[in-house]
Amino acid sequence: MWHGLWPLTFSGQGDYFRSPPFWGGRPSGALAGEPTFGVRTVDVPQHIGDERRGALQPLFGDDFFDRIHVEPRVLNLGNVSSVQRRAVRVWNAFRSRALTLTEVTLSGGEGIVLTAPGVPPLPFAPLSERTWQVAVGTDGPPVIGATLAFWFDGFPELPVVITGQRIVAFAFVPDWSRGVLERLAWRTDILTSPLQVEQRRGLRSTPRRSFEATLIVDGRERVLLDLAVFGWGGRTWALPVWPDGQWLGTEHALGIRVLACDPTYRDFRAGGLVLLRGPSAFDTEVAEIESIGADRIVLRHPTTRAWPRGTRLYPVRTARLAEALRVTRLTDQAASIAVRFDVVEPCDWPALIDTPVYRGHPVLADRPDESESLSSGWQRALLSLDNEFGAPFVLDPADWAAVTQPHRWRMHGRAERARVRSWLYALRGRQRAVWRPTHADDLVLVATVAGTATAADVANVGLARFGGLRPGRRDLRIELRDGRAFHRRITAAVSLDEAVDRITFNAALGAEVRPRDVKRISFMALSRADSDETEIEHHTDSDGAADVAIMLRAVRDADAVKTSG
Amino acid sequence: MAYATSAANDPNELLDKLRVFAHSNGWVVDGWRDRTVRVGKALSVHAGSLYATLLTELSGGDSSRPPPFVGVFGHTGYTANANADLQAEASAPVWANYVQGPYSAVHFFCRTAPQPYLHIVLETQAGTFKHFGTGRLVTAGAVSTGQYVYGSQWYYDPSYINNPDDVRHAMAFDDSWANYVSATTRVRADFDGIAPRWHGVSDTGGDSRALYCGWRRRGAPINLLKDIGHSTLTGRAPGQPLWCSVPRGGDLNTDVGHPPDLRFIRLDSYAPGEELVLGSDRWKMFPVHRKNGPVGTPNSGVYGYAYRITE
Repeated sequence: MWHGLWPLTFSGQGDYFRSPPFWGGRPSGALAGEPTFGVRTVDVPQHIGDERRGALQPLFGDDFFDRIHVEPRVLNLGNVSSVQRRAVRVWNAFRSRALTLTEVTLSGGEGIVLTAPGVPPLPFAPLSERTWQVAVGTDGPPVIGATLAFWFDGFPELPVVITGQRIVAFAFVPDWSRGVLERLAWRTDILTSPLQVEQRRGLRSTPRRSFEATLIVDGRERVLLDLAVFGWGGRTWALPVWPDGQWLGTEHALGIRVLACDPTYRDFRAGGLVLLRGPSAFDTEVAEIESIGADRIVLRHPTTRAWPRGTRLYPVRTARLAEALRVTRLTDQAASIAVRFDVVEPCDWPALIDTPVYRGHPVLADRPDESESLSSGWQRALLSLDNEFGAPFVLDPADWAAVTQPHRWRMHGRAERARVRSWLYALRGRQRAVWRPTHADDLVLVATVAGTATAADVANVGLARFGGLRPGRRDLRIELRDGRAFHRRITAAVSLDEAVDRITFNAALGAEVRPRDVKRISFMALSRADSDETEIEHHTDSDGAADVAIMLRAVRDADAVKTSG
Repeated sequence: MAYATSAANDPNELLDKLRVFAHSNGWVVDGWRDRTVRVGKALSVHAGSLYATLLTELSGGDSSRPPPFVGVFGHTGYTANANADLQAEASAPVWANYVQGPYSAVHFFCRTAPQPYLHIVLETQAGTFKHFGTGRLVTAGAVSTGQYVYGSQWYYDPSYINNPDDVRHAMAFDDSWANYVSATTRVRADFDGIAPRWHGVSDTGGDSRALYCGWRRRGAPINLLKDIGHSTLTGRAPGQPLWCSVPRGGDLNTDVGHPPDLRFIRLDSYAPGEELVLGSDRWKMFPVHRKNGPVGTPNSGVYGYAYRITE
């Protein structure tokens, strides 16, 4: 075959390489080697090309080329609270066929501005791409359901579905003199047997959450609030989580995506929203979170204005007004307004991680706040039959009292708030049981307990006589002064004399414990909350104080056999 | 509708659902019977001139190649024999092993034109897949029938179970294979006046009835993109037609074609069962057996098949 090609190389009509010049006193390009840079023309003579034989083998390119690509096919904008700009790319992937875009239609596109690269009929050269810009504004119907359709000559419609919902920021700040009340409401279905054994079923995967606050608005803001509630009152708002607000510490220029802030223990979440608020409710921007770092939040889209130091930054939850606003007119300029919002999105919170676990349930080792006295109670399920003329007949089928005791937390700072919120989520309203120590000095050790011993002598308080080793009075939390804590079950109790009871543990403590090492020995009762609703009183924002109180009630749940220290 | 996903409890129920699916999508059901040779069912179908019988076999095999099996063989015409396994010009059956139910999901793909095919993907447990089916190649050159049948046999010996590239695993449209049981891919390529001429992937050299179509040995007419990962820019990976060739003697090979709407694809950035949209095409991607996974479980690495959904 080469002997056939060889004459063509020098004939002037069949050279493969036209550049650099192949003749003219200098060596031929073909002889000097192929050019290594610059434009090169390869011209295969027709009578050589005709010699080729074989079948064309389609490879992966045939799956990509010779069709029209429209990307993306679905634009899900989520919550639209500021102008969202997205690009839709149309690529004519035909390698040798020019197409004509005959029409672009946008249906249901109220509040959507389309920026087109040209007016149809628009020719698309082979392998050419054009980009349409879709801008979705905050004005328009609350639910966005639009279709952007591309029509090419000879092709079926190529639709792009645009979905989302518009929300408006509620950018007014609360009057902290009365704090903000946050309510978490789970729902539990409880079936109770006559023996007080319960089956509990959580009906909500996440609690319903609501916020109550009082606002003082004046001047232009008052009218803005009036008009905003008038015009948008029945729809979804972007509600800032007021207690989790913070000030930006640095200048942020227009068009940045990274906000330097402290997101730790605040209600930020990837995919959620943040609110930036300047001096007044007119200066706001809501942005979408892409990711959260230790000291920053990365937004999905650049900010649309500059935000100076001192700008307030809040995590946002979408919420609806739970009831009509109660307006108290203070002057003709100012008003005090009580608002209540119900959050409409599920709110998760990280689970407890460092709590001790005893017999399959977490131990509520946190000391309760005792600035108000804690009052315990005993609930008995008594059945009484009273015929009104004899002594009533009373039966105690369970022969057991459900001990109730409140637990109150006073939280300082965000870490404590986060921990208590994790406890509330661990309790899930009335559903889950935890071990609740009495946090009282119930038993007093009178003699040293060896590490291998399973018995201990304690001051006689009638344990052997009345305790009966029944649920609620047989599990102990032994706290030592050095911070260690043991959780053990009493398997037997005998009264040695009037001063000393000897109790037997289910397992040795594993460390020698002297009476002076012991800080407190408390009974523990497996308990659940007595109410599905919990209120968190935020006295200040999350750097300051907050209060939560729950009532715990003992339950007769089966506990796991496995023990841990 | 040429794609359906469903569920089934055992191989026989699977074939029964396949019968309904194939019938409602233009295939003609010729027979639906008990097998007389082994315990199982036989489903004979045809689309145009493409005839195939799908079989179940509930016992047999061994610990490395456990039952139950589903299989398929191709033939011409249909004869209502007492023995459902006997048909004219039939190929030897190809099998997929260890198709125990109940399945997490079953996926059916079919078409009757331009090339008929019936592709079945079984998700035997969450994340574990089996492939079998039949159809006619998109032919290249002068091949008169081009019918193919394929199955997939994973080798369950603990020493090899998580070794995706071991030749003991006999996979669909792959000729790197040496488990001494039976071929898992067969193609009918009639030429030189010989008919029927069924070629099967072979583990012996110099086999004049061999079929070359490997993605592990990459011995296909054009090397497959097995070692090419996804695009770092888009996260997408190219799908590659599974080319088949047969020897013509004298160390010459002839391309015979590739199965329609079926590609070899790397799943580095895709999840099993995920859909890939290319323009107006939708491709559904499944691992060859199981994507990665812990030690001691079947592992076919990141290799997978992509099936086109044509609706």
